[in-house]
Amino acid sequence: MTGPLRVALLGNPNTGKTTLFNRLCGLRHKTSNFPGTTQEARVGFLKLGESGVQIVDLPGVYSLELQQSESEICRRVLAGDLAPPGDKAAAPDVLCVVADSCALHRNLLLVGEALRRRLPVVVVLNMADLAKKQGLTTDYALLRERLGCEVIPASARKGDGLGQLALAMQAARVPNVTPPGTQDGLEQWADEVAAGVMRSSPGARRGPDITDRLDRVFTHPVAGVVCFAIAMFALFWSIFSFAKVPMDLISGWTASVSDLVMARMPEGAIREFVAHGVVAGIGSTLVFLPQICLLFFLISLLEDTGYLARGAFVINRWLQPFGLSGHAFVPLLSSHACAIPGIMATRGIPDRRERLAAILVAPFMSCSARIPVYVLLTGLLFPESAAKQALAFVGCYALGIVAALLSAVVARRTLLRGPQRPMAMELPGYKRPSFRTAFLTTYDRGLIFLKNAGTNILAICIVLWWLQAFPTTQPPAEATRLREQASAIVHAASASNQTPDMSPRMPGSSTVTASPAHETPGPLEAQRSGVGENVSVSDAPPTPDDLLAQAKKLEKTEALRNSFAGRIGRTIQPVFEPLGYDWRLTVGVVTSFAAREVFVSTMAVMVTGSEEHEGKDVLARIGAGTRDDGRTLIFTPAASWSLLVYYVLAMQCLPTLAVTAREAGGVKWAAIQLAWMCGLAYVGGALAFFLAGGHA
Amino acid sequence: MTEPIATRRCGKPGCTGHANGVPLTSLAPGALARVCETCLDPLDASMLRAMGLRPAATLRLCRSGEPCVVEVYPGSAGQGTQCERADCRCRIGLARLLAERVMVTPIDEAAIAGAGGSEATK
Repeated sequence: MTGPLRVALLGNPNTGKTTLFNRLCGLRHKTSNFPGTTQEARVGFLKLGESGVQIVDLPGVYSLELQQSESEICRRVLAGDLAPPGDKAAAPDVLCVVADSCALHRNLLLVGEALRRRLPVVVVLNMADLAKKQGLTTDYALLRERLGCEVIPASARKGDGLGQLALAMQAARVPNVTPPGTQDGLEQWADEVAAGVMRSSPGARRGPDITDRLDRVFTHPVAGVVCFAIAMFALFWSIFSFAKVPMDLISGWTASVSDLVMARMPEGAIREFVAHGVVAGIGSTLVFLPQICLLFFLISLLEDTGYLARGAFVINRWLQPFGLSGHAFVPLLSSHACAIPGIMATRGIPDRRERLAAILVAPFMSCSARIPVYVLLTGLLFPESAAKQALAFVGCYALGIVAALLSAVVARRTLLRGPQRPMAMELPGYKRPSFRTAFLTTYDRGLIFLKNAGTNILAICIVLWWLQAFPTTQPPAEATRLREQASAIVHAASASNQTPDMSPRMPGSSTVTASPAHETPGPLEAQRSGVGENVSVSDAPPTPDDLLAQAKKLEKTEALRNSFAGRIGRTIQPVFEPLGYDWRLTVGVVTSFAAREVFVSTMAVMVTGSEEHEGKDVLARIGAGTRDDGRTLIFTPAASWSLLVYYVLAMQCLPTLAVTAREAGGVKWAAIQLAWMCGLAYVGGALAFFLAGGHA
Repeated sequence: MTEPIATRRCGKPGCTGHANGVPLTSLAPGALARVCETCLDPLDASMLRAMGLRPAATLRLCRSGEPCVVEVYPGSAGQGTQCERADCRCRIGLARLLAERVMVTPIDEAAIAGAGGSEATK
């Protein structure tokens, strides 16, 4: 044999198949999708013998004959028609069927179907330790005889029986037993085999147990909802609390690396590209990694306890009218942290149409990136009332949820039309979760995200940086004059041996009085350059730093205005006229297409000249900025309402679009998501502008 | 006394009644029953059958309502040994819409020794 032994892992859901895969392969695996499908293909490698063993973890199925995507993929892989990406499609060398020792009678149906495939087969009776604890004994010798293949008792959780299994894989042969071909015959065969080989000890526990009692609570219409709310609160509280520290660290590291690049590299376009394109692009994506890892770690733990299946049922009745099921709840809820892990979490939704619907609507949920925008706009709308700000904030979240649910209805009745399958799910027994499995799942999901971040997302960030950075323009005359003035003050101080006061004034007290009266820009010029609202006359002379800061502000505003992004913004401004946006707001909307939170810093640069966008004073200065006529506020109340609605509904996150394309199985779905969300946002924004009296 | 067939309708729209059994949802929690037939779409029927909820299977209703939780015992009725292995069972949650289309025949609890219905029916 030239290549590794190729083994396909087949089994019912909840038989510990993935735990076994993780035990066998550890970190030596890669996850992708089967070509042309949304089904995950996990391929691992086991060091064994000279060439090793390649293991493909197939989707969990109850039968190979069902008309569902998971069963179809298993059928095609076993027939040699389908292989994970990069592999040549060929039937596996060995079929390893994982069965639950505690539910052998049902698992034998799939074993029977596998035996009929005429491939070398090994049967693993997983959870053998649990069966023993429950007083169930299996006659393995008799079972081997009845199945005509090797049978290995194992405990994937403890790692028992794995050595035997590895040897059995190498020695596997085509079974000499062929179970009946009809479903009735197969069921009878499975019953007979199970009845013959299994015995329960007289002391075996019987009847209702703790599972019954817990189920009564966890699936209760009231108590179940309360438990679910507590579980979800704990889950997301943990994510928000524990992810903050690593997120801040990543932000800090990114800023440090960016500063280092700026300090060490020679000035020029390459330095700007590395610092603000590559480093900032990677940093802005990496910052989501802690949330993603924590979410999947905690969901994996919760799922392993057996609780999540009950929670899905509790929430099912609420989501059903919208064409979704309880499976969609956790992905949608986690989208409130970030849509990317939310979309990745839709992998747990078994129905393909429902999964696609959940992917399409997940970004409607108000993610953490929207929060700075909400803070700015609600602050501008209700500067004097914290209660009204809070109400508007809650309203934004509610609008996002309503838009998501209604969009799900539209999607399920148009593009994703099809019967809504009533929920039926096996409720696994309650057990202590495996941290090892949770860690490996987290590693897996984190790696998928990083691969995506290192390719598509980074490329997109670089393109957007380029649009904002080029073409470079000459600094405006006013900025040059301010720099010269600052330089003159420093020279004058040096000449008289005085140390000039370099410290800038506190925001709000900064003064620029150096311009002689005849050089003071007119209102229109001042407004266009963003100077007017900050200029005040004071007796205190300006410091060089004040002047330099002012010059920098003018240069940045002018550079952004003349950049490709700025030009695009000004060109398409008429499109946003019905929403009440001037060219500055349009540039803000255009530049935040990559990431929503960019809007606030863009507006800070455009209006105040500084990227600093935190603090009450800066927000007040942004709010006081006026349009080109020098009188109308940039953020009129009507325009602010319109922006608020627009940002709740619009798809303005390129990383999310990249993940949608990947998870949904095509760019088409990302395009649909973008068009639908932005279209809805446009209509909603125009409506909000109209209702707020913008056209009056 | 046998219940009139007309009242043995499952939840499927247009169902004219079933000759055998009653909807699973009509059982009291803790009751043991045997699956007679299902009145489901082929996809759902085949899925439930693969999960173990098949004709002649013995089950115990753990929870009624939404969701309906049943515990399916090994093997088919008449297999003899199926309910001796009380721990060797599968627990399935069903949306009410599905559960009301599964027709079952209640069976005498005492006939299934040690199946554990007594505590659940308390």
